[in-house]
Amino acid sequence: MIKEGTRPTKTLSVILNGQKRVTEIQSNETLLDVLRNKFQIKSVKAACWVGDCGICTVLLDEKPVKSCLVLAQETMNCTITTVEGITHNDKLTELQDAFIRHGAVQCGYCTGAFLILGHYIINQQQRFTFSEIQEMINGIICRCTGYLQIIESILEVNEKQFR
Amino acid sequence: MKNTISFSTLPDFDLLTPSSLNEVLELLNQYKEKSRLLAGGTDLLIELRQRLKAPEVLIDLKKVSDLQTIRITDDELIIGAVTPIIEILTLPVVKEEFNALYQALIDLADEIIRYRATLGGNIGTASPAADSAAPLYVLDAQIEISSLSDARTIPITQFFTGVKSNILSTDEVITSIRIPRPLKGTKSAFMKAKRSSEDLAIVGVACLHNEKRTSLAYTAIAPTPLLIDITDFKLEKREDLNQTIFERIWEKILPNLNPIDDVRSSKKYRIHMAEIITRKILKEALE
Ligand SMILES: Cc1cc2nc3c(=O)[nH]c(=O)nc-3n(C[C@H](O)[C@H](O)[C@H](O)COP(=O)(O)OP(=O)(O)OC[C@H]3O[C@@H](n4cnc5c(N)ncnc54)[C@H](O)[C@@H]3O)c2cc1C
Ligand code: FES
Ligand code: FES
Repeated sequence: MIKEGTRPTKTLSVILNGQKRVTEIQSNETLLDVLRNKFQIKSVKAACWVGDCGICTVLLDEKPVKSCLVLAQETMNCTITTVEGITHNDKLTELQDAFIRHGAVQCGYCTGAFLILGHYIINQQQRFTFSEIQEMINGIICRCTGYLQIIESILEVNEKQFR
Repeated sequence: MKNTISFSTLPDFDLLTPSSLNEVLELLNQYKEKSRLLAGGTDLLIELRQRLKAPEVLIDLKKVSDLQTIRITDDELIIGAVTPIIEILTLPVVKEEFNALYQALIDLADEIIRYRATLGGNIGTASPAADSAAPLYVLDAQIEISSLSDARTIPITQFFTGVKSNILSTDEVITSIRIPRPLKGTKSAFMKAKRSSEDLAIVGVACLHNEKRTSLAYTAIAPTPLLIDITDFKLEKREDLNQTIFERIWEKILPNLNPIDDVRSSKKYRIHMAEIITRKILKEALE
């Protein structure tokens, strides 16, 4: 077995929140490690490191992934979006605004993950029901809100798209 | 139990990213037991983090487009081993003709995981609780396997050899899962008992019923999935499944079940749930 910490580094290049970013990585680093430690993206959090909590969710090539289950190397030349990348000119998105109005943010630990997944759901340009949204978000855990406020926020913005 | 939180880094390995099946086979032939295949990583990366495995190299299968096709022919459904589960679910024929598989996959893990998790990975791990196994058993799936020197096709019932072990040798890869199109009028279904929305099953049951055959398959209730044929009971309609017949069917099934006690459930509860689900799934198949 190879001794831990002896691997040479590799150069990773990605489009993170619309900007080209380059950094040196080790082969065993996850996308989660690199986002938080190399790119200082702190909206992405972790709680389990084994795919259960969903708190580390980001968009990889426009699809949701749990970043603790993705190797950083696998994202070479890919597009990555986090909450830092969804606002325009520092103005809150409609979904962020809905989260505040509905009380979908309490301690806030899960908020980055739900916002980025909600952003993905809304970008589908498809009308979803309450229970479909409930099913789509069931990979992320929130210990404070009870989910209802989160689902209602996403539903409200989704419904507005079709008015 | 191991505290997974202390494993906040992965062990060291090299990642190799072949772009064709042939390159995969050459790499497997070169590294054999020093390597592991990486598909969606939703099982493997966890096992690495928990230091249950220590490969020198991971061979990523996701850049091999030939392994990600999904096709329906006159005779069969052919699913590339590395096709993400979310994509399998979008093909209408899967729900129409292979309902047991559809029901297992739509409830496998959670929506975010289903973007990456693959069918090849689900059976590759060979967990006794692999949700896809029960439907693949009743649907007579065949597993296509390749190595540099050989290719073979085996029935899914020969694939699992024990808890988390399978028939693959260290230079082999699953290339596809082939499922024959069931007879017209076939009904198939899958149901599982679980603790929470994204937890592994306490027990999983699949059923297939048509004019020629009635069979059941079980997961999470023995070291490997189980297939039990109950065609002999001549079930044709709902009324045929009275209490006496069900008891006789259950007498045939019960001796095959060999569940464990674990954090998810006691043995007794697993068997109790298996019985309840068996009755329910059979009733629905005979409606
Ligand atoms: C939060 C969470 C919830 C889950 N819930 C469920 C659940 O409800 N039901 C369930 O059944 N599973 C569940 N799982 C387990 C896992 O998601 C599935 O087993 C998944 O299908 C694995 O596929 P993968 O592509 O991610 O496999 P990987 O992790 O990439 O690989 C798994 C294993 O198979 C081998 N392998 C992969 N592809 C091939 C191939 N083509 N040929 C040969 N060997 C191969 C790998 O070497 C590895 O040993 C869950 C996992 C998580 C993290
Ligand atoms: S930290 Fe990634 S799912 Fe929990
Ligand atoms: S707001 Fe606290 S975990 Fe969701």
